[in-house]
Amino acid sequence: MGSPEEDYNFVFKVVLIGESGVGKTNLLSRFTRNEFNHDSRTTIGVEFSTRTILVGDAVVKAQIWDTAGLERYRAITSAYYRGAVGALVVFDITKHQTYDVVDRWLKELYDHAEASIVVMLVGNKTDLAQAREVPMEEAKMFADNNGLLFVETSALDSTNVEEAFETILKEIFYKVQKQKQRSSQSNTVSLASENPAGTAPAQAERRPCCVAL
Amino acid sequence: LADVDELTTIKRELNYRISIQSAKLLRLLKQKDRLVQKVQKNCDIVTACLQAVSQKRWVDTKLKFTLEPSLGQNGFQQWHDALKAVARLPTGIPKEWRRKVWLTLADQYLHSIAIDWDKTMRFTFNERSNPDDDSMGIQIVKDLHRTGCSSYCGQEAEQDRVVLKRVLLAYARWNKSVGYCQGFNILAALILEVMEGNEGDALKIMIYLIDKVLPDSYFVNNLRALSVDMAVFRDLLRMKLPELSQHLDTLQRAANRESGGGYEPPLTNVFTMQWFLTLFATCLPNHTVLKIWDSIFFEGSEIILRVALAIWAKLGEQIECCETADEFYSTMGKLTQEMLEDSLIDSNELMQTVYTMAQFPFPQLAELREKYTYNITPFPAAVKSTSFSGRLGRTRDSDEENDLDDEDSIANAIGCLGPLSGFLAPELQKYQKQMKDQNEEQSLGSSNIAELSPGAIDSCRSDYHTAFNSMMMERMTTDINALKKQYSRIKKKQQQQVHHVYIRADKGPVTSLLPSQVNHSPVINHLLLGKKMKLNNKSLKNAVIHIPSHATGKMSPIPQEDLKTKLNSPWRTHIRVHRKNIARAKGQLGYGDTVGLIDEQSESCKTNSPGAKEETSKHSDFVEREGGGLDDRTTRKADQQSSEPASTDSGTNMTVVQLKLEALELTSDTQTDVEPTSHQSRQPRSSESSTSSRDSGNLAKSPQPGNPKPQVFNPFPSVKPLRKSATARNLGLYGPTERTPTVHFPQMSRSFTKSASGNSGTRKR
Repeated sequence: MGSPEEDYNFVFKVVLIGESGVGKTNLLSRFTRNEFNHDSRTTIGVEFSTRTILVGDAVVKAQIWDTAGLERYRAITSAYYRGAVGALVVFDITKHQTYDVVDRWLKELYDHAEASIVVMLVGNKTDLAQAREVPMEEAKMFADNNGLLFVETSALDSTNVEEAFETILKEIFYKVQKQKQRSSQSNTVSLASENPAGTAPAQAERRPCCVAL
Repeated sequence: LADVDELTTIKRELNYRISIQSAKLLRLLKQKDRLVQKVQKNCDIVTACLQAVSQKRWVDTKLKFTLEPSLGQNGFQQWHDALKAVARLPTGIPKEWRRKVWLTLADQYLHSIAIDWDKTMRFTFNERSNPDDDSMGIQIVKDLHRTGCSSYCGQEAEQDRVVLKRVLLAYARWNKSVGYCQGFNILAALILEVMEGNEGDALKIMIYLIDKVLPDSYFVNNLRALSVDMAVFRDLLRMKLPELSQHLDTLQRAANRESGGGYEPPLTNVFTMQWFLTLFATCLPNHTVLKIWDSIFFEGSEIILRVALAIWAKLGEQIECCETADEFYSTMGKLTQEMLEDSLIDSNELMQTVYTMAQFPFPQLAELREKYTYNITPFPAAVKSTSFSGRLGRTRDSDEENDLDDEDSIANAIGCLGPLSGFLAPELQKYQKQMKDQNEEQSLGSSNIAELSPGAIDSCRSDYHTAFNSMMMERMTTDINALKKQYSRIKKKQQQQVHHVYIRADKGPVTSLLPSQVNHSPVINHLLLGKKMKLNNKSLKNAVIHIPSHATGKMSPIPQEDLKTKLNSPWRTHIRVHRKNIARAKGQLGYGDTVGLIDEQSESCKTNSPGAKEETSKHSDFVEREGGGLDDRTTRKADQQSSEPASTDSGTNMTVVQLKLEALELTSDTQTDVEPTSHQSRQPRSSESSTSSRDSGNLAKSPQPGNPKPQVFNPFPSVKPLRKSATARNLGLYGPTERTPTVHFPQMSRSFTKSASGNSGTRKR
């Protein structure tokens, strides 16, 4: 409420999704509080955290929703995909299974989220490089083919965490800007166009797999 | 000779020692007696204290405090009532008692469903892993150190984690349909702490909590019951804290608008979801959480909603300052942290709010739960592909209930049935549910027979089957008659209840003597303190809707008719289905749940009509009560007491009495100063009550709106039928075995004894 943190130009909602135990919660706590806890509590349903950063000369508040990875929570957590403008799909580079199901997570996401959502694939736990099961190239290729941003991180030693969030927030920001310009040209769209929801056509070409069920 | 001498000495010596020992024993016995007496006396003192603080003294005269339930039919109930009263005290249940108290409750439940515990233990804690365990085991292991409880982290906690894992796995094996759900690790960790690390005891509590206390599918089926409770909670918030609720709705709508095509789920969801799933273990300090759990164990799952309401009430002021959804979330982020750190919420205050915010059971809760259970996404499986995708052009899931608009549209859909919808909708749902139940039971029954899983099932099983089949045949033929009888008894009970309503209606108006007292109704008390007056008007208006037919000074035929219709179709369905069953007459392993309910109903019938006499005697009873209603309070009290010994401890009866009390309390609370006036005014007023609309409005606020209905036939969310674990059933962990005859548990509750007397087969599928 009166804190400086509240002075911002944009609020971006970002969701963190991925299998249970890949490190979503720790990525978030590293980004928002610079904390890491091996024994962080299992996420129950949905939790959230915020941090405000500077993108260009705009102050952007990231409202990040951390979701439970467990299957049976999905019906409940997916309600939170809908308002999101960005998503981090996280997998554990030391567990191939968590990468194998990324496809399913994407489908789940596109089923519920706005088509314009910016998605980033995140391979977490690079500090455990010796136990790596998912080659970086493979994941990178997958991301490219599916029009996703990609980064590998380690919440434990902070590698790339900041970068990951900054990248996705920037991407969202530019998209919003672009949309603004476009709408001012086409003059058909009202205030609501500030939200990237209106960018659906632009998204469709980038990501062919976003068709609903 | 020397030997003889020696023997005599030995004998003398022995005699001497024996006498010493006897004296010692005697002394000890006397001491024991003294101590027992002392304990007894202390218990009596506690009983007296409990009765003294009890606001419903004339119900609680039945209450008798003992450390553990005494034998006999009422032993458990007496203990239960007393401990419940203790739990309601500001200090709550002393932590030294907690373990024993919880275990007693859990044991009682396990007895009531006739579980062979030794066998269950052997199966659930089996060292050999079983093929189903794998995927579950992996998830469990992942979560062992993530309970949020530091005692399960780090190297030295290895042993604790092993125990935790065994408990979680044991529960998953016990109830395969639920298995393991994230959050159980948090629950089990806390339970283990209370159970001092005993895994078997912890399992019992898990079973009692998840299978019995919490609503069905709280943790399964996409957490459906949880979604229902989240929606129900929002309605309760609307009723109890209308300003806050409205404010939150405004923020949500604004957020929706601002984000264009975006979507903001109801703002409370993210918090209530977690609170409900972990029963507040992640949001409040442990000592508060344990108090809440005590309360949940004694009062049922409605406590969860009450606590949530109390918390929001507490946070309300700060939330109402927020101007955007985003600001709300930021503020809540701070507040939840403070809550966890114990600086924000005082546990005593919280629990007092919880107990005083509304009467028990929470008015309308059952209806709301039912409404959301059956109204929202009636076909959860099909939703994804059909019902909503067309309309919204986007596939959506069963989180539909989170969407306010959708709720409205469903309400509209129901509404288009016209003015009858109020009657029809629940009726239809019940009918649906009834059919579903039957189907489920049938499939369960047949699969039970088909699926003779190896090993765990006794050899006596096949004998049991033959015996069972013939018994079923016999029973089904008699059942229809029994059902008819029960039906008529229930009908009588309805008539009685109409009288109760009437009696309450008599008392209600007394409070309305002074306009200034309007705000003191128990429904709105604490939660709305400090709120503006208009809220009261609002709740008043709301409540009036429910009353009009009951306020008539006579036993009008309308409510009776209403109650009858309520009853009618479910029972008819029963009879129909029973007939069908006779035709099939094969391998039906029971109607457990529904017949169990009939039992309950009939039981409460009996309790309400002492001696289960014929109509005439009951009629006189009515007159007596009616008279009591008109008399001054002491007379009524005496009247009530005299009828009490005859009644057993049926929950329904209790609530009825409680309701009456509530109405009475209302009188005493607000009228203490003006006692004489109220005395005098009471008699004339009771006759006036039918005409005065203001009175009925007031009446409405005094909590009973629609209450007789849930008492009548309300099998679903709040009155929980016995639930059985399919696994346990398949494994033959349920009786009848040599181990589970009635003899074993003389103190067993009515349900068990009853099932032995009438419907022995029904509870044991």
